[in-house]
Amino acid sequence: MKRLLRISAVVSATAALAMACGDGSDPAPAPAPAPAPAAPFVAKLIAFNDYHGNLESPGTFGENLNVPSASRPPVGGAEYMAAHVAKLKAQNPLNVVVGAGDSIGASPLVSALFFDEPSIETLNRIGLEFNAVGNHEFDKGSAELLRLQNGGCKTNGGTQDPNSCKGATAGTPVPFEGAKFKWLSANVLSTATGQPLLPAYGTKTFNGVKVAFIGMTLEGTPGIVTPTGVAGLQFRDEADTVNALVPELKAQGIEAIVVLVHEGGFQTGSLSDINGCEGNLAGSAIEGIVNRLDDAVDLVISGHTHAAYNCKLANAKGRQIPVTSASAFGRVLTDVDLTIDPATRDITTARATNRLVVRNDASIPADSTVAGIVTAYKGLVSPIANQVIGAVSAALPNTRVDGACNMPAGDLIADAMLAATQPASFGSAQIAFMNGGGVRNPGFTFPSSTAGEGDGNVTYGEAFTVQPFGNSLVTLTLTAQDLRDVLEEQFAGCHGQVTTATRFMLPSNGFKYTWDGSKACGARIASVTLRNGATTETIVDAAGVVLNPARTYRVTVNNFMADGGDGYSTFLRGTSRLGGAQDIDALTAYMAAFKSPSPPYTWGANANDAGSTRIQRASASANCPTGSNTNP
Amino acid sequence: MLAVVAAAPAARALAPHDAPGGIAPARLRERDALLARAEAALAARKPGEAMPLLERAAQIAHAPDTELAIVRCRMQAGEYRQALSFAAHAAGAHLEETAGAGLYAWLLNAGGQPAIAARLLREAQARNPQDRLLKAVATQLERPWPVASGPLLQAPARMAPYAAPLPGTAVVGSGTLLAGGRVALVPAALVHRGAGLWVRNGLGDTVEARVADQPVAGVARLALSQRLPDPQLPAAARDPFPGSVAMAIEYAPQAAGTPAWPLLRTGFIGAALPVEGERRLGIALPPQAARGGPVLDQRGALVGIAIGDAHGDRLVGIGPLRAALGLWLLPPASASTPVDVDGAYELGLRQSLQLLRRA
Repeated sequence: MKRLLRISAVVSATAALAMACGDGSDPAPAPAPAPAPAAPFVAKLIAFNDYHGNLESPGTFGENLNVPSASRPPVGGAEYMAAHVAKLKAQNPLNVVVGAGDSIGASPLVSALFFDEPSIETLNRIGLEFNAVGNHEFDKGSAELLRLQNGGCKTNGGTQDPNSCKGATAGTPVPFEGAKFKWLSANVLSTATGQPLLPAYGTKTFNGVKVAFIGMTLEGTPGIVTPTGVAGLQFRDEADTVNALVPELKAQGIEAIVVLVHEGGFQTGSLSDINGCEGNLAGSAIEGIVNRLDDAVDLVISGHTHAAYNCKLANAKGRQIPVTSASAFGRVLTDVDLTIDPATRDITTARATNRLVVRNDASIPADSTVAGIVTAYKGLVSPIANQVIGAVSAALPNTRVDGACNMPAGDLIADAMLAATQPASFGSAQIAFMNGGGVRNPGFTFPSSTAGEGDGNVTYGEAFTVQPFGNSLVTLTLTAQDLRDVLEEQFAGCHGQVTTATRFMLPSNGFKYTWDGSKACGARIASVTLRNGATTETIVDAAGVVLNPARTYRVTVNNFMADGGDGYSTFLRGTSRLGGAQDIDALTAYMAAFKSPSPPYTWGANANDAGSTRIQRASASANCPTGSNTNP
Repeated sequence: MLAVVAAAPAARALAPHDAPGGIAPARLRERDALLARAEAALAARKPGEAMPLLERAAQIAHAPDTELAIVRCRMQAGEYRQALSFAAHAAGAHLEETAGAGLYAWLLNAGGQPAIAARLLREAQARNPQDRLLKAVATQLERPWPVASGPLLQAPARMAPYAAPLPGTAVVGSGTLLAGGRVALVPAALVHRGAGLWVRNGLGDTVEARVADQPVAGVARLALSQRLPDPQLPAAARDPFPGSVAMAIEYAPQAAGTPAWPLLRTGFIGAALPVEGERRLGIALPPQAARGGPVLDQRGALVGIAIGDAHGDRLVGIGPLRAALGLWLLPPASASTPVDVDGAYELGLRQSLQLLRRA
């Protein structure tokens, strides 16, 4: 079937009225209306409710209470919600994803700590389009709900909250993108304006036929929400609100109407099958609402009770209409095939099935994008991330701070690599080199981050930002000649280095040399010394002569460099290799010596540096070479 | 395992919070009966029996008493992650029932999130400044070693596992379960042959123990009279590197021998010590304890056990443990995916042990 879905803004006079109350509709530009097919067709509606920010699996769940615990599959989790929704959508290009409220609020820490922004971001990628407000959408007040709808960062007294707008880590836009779906609140009015806080309904067009989705919460919301959360709002009767909107929708030519309402009921008996309707929800709040609904309403997606059911209840005319609910926490999706008659523009049948969001079906793999977002937020919520590991006395950037190509952040990392591998059992290292490209932006900053660790303090999360690759340390044996060769190899086109890049490594404390970019490959390095306390050894003299070419040194690099990465092929000659700690572990361990009350790390203060920078340049140029020109 | 003789505490009567109207009185009575049976099953340490009853109760009304019982049921079954997630919901959805906030804060603190627990507790107290339960929780969480006693052991917010009482014993330290649940490692300084010893995990399972052989590296091996459930924690391939992320799991020492959930704290392994395989622990734990609990890495693998003495806390790494105590029984760590602190705590509920000694 050719996809004839139309998502458009209505522009007629009647629609203008709808915009005032609805305005949740069809946001995309209007393509030319397609001719409606003569035959009835099927559109797929996918629904859920009471997600409550359950980005992670809430555990196992059975289709009914008789399923033994051991036989219940693991269910839910945002990445599997996304996968199951995608699978259902793939079955029919005419589809819509809706929610019946409480998508946020009363949520686990991984969402709640970040003001439920992770829930919104994942629901956006799950494909939610229309979502009724539930009582928990008002937990933090209407202004916060509007922020979550429209995007932007959470502020406190004009200052951005440190736990808002974390997209840079999560891989989502900054500032917070807001909900791409439309929250609907037909029965929630601003007392100041008399208008719905959010659109009363939204529409989506299938094969030229518009379907309306009216969204609302339970009238009793003020009784179960903090008073400040519902200040300035009125909550009106659910059925009366729907029935009052029906003429307005019909005036727009809309006959297909779906109600998304955050109110529900419970089955009776002891089975509670997700597709059952024991007791027909008799006496429940949702039954009371449906019994009074206008006959124009074709389907009711309900929620609030966290129950699952698949019912048909009598409307005001006694006609049985489908009423569904999909448990809670992302355990279940309601899959509804709507048969739409283009001639009448109405829904003729709605066949609903509640389906478990299982995590163990190999044919439905997790959505990797959504999984990545969840993983990122899990990392942010970890108590590890904000722990202070040490302090610096000033910013240590990952940029070259002089023409000799010294880099303060790289020096610190090289020092840490050396310290981690100096003990005999860890490598007996004498020198360490860090590749400049492995020191990530921005280096070590001085001002406190939004985590509030205090000026100068370095958190584990900040350190991880500088060293994110998870490289391990390798200590190997090189000769004095190898040392000189690898230093020469830093220059474009020299030995194994590419012709387009000059790449200076950062040496550990005590190691110094001078380079002259005006000379030829093999003659640029001189005055290589290694100082350890009171002892200074000359490896290459001022004339560039290697004094004892066969003498060996234990040198630590990361595994990327040890394997010849960044063009340092000389390291491949290294013998007696010993694998060691991860680079971030070495840095963390080293920084512990600079944690308050100990003095902070100060660049250039190491006694082995003897008051001068580790890399010296023969000329006075201030331009550190990075490309083919070795002497800018 | 010791039989449970603790009586089931009566569930505090709670009105359904946002249950829809129109629930027939008979259904509410059915709900109450289900809850009572579930609480009795929980007190009898039968979470498998309690959960179906609670699920049925939850299908009658969406109410905090049911949800808090589900949280405790999850904890009794060792399912910390699900308990924590549901506690978050119970606390947020039922603001009028402070037990939810109290239990959630307690679980967060125990599981390695003390700062967030304290913040949530402050917010709950701001809403309910006179609430006694919240005050009791706050008092404990401000202490280095929170201990649940008195009202904090009563449903609906009992903040400890159900377990058989052991009169006349004291919790003197912690231990680490190994070897398929038949061996425990504990600080040698806490035990001697002939002492009345028991170990109890975070689910309340309690068994008698005896010193099996001579201590090595300050660690004693206990043989357990019955097998305890073992999560088969993998062991790291080598001793941890200084600076690596680690999680230590310990129990509060206490004179009363009361069952408890352990305390997890995170940090970074400290500097190598002169003794091969030993490190400074590097994880800030409450003071004045002999330790003995497991230390896990970011993949949930055992990297050693913590030992505390007058010189501070140190880690006896997996290398010396394996060499001296024959820990070849431990399955080797594979290329597993990282575990977060919640997952580590869940492992720790079974892997860590209270060490009880006759007072």
